[in-house]
Amino acid sequence: MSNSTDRRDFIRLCGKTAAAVAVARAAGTPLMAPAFALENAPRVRLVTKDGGPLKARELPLYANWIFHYPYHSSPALLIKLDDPAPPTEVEDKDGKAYQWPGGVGPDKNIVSYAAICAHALSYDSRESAFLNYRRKRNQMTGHGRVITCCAHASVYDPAAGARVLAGPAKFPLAAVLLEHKPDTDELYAVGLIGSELYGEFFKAYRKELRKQFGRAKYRKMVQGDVIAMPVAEYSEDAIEC
Amino acid sequence: MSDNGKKVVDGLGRRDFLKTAGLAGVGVAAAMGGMAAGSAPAAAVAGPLSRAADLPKNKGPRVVVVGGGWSGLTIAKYLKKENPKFDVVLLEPSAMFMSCPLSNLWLGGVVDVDLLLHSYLDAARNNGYVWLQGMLVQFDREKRRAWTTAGHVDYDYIVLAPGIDYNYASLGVKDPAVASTLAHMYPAAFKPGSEHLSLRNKLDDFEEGVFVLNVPAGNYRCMPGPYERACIIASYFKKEGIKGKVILLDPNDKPTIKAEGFLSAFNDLYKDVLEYHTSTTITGVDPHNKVVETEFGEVKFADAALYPRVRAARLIEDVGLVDPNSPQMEARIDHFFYNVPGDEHTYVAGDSRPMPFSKSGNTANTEGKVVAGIIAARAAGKEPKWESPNTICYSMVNTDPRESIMVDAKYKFTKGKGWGFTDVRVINKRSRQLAKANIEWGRGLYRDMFGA
Ligand SMILES: Cc1cc2nc3c(=O)[nH]c(=O)nc-3n(C[C@H](O)[C@H](O)[C@H](O)COP(=O)(O)OP(=O)(O)OC[C@H]3O[C@@H](n4cnc5c(N)ncnc54)[C@H](O)[C@@H]3O)c2cc1C
Ligand code: FES
Repeated sequence: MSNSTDRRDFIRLCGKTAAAVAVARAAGTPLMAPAFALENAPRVRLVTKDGGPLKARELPLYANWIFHYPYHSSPALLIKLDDPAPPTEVEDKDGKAYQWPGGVGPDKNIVSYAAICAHALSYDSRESAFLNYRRKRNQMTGHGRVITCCAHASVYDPAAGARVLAGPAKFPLAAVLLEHKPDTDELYAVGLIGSELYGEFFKAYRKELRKQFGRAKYRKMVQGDVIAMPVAEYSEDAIEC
Repeated sequence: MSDNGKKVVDGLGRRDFLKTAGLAGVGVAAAMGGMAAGSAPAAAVAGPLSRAADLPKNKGPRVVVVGGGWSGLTIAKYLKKENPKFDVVLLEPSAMFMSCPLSNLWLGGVVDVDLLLHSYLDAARNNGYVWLQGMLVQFDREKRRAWTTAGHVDYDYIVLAPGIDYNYASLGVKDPAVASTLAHMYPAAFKPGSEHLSLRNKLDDFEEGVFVLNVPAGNYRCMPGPYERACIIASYFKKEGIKGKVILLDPNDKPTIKAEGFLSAFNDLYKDVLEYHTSTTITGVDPHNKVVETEFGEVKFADAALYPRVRAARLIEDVGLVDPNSPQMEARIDHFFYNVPGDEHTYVAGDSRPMPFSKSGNTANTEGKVVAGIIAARAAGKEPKWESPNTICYSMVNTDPRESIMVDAKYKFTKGKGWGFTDVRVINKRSRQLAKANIEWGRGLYRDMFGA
């Protein structure tokens, strides 16, 4: 992270800030500070293409969906796992431990992570989605029920804070904090913790992000409702490897 | 084979002053003495060798990384990541970086050349090190001074990552003059830059006839490279409707890697435009009459890219670091920690290494991070850690539609047996999706080496 302006949205937390409280609240676990958390994280509701709320129960099992968060141009995966995912402690890029709050929803199996690889920033674009969750074992490493990045075969465990299981990545994908409203069954994205890479992301892809999302908009934070859809629909190719 | 290699090298004749400097190990005065003895005009080299290079003042331990290829670029960047106090100087003579990986795709018109070209200035600025545009001529391991064409540099650690050179004797060409002609007329195009541009121009100019490619013996750079290139050129002939044939001569009985994937591409896609001859070694070349000789007879060609057996870059020999047991004149280093035995200040990495790892960019990149970690650990008085490099390698076997295959492997050392592959995964079924991953593989590693 060399660009200090790109970094300004992020602060190192020491335990008492609003974001940390949000984590703890989302997790329903004792307060533990994340090593990094997005400051002023937007709170957005996830909706489907037709604009209606995305209901947790309607999200298909094994979903490999995409939405944009926290910026208009930054993709995140939305996944529904087989089993409930309990909170897990993982380490960020500086080796600092943080608590990933676990899955949300009626079955505590809905999770979300930045779809930007912690190895060399490959990401999910309209043209190609290099990071995908699949239940089926991948051919590159033989892992199943994982997020695989097909650029250099980094494999992340979505049920454990996107801990690295194989490949060149050295730290987990940043985790998007979700909230589930039991009364309406709606899903909200409310924060981001872990190792953010948005400075590098914007720097590496500025040209194509501007082209697709607009010069003014690509690095603005999302607000209101955000559309989520299957990666296979969003992207020309959900790469399998 | 080691005899062969040796002969060529001596035949090509290294400059006497280097020998003198190396033997004396004392530097400028001795080097000057060597030159005065008659082999090179002193004035031509006295300038840069006798002054200090223009560098910012070093604040921490200085590491000179020689060679800005896949290995050196990675080591330079990750040394700074490991310890921001390191004063890292990357020594590289080329004006810009041109990638060997993905160059076959550019050859086949799949990607633009800008994908392959990158700025050393950007790499250095983004990652907080210095690029010194020059070549290492000699260095003194005791005084820790390196003489370069851009001036001399004092250092704490030095890493040599100069890549490969070709051994033309392996093609049955013993006369250095003929070797030079051959290198001009039918360049191997397994070193970046002009060789690749020249090969591309050859394809543009190609009218009809046979285009010869070959696989060298031994552990050559980019195992799938010659097979991929055969596919790409055959694909190009098909697409352009050229009345040509690719003849690929291979001393092995099947492709050395991803055999199934390549053989099915040869069979399914290029039956009419590609002939694959196994167990066929080139024994001689007549560049003027355009004939390649093999044990089985002669092959007349219209054009060719001839790939001699690979050896470590000449520099390794010039500085006296060749492993006498290495048939490819690779460096004598500790196989786990990359240092010259008994000298924890001198390292060799990348394609000049003696370990039989696949000579690939991905290997050099993953290894580079380990080497940076080893040097940082030692500089901090800690025990270094070994980790296996990783060889991930895609090959595009079809350009229309684009389809690739891939392999992913690591290495392990077994007592009594030596080095071998481990955790090998191959995807031999070519696919469009893997072709996208193939290009992204390169983009990702360029981001890694040149970005912050
Ligand atoms: C056509 C082709 C396709 C390939 N495809 C792939 C692929 O798909 N995947 C893959 O992983 N690998 C691939 N490779 C292999 C890969 O390019 C090499 O293995 C890799 O470049 C090795 O890195 P290196 O740093 O050791 O050598 P290089 O990258 O060759 O770098 C060596 C550098 O040292 C410099 N140098 C030499 N002597 C001196 C000196 N005296 N002083 C200072 N500098 C010096 C040179 O100028 C050069 O820049 C391919 C290679 C080719 C040719
Ligand atoms: S960018 Fe994902 S594994 Fe390299």
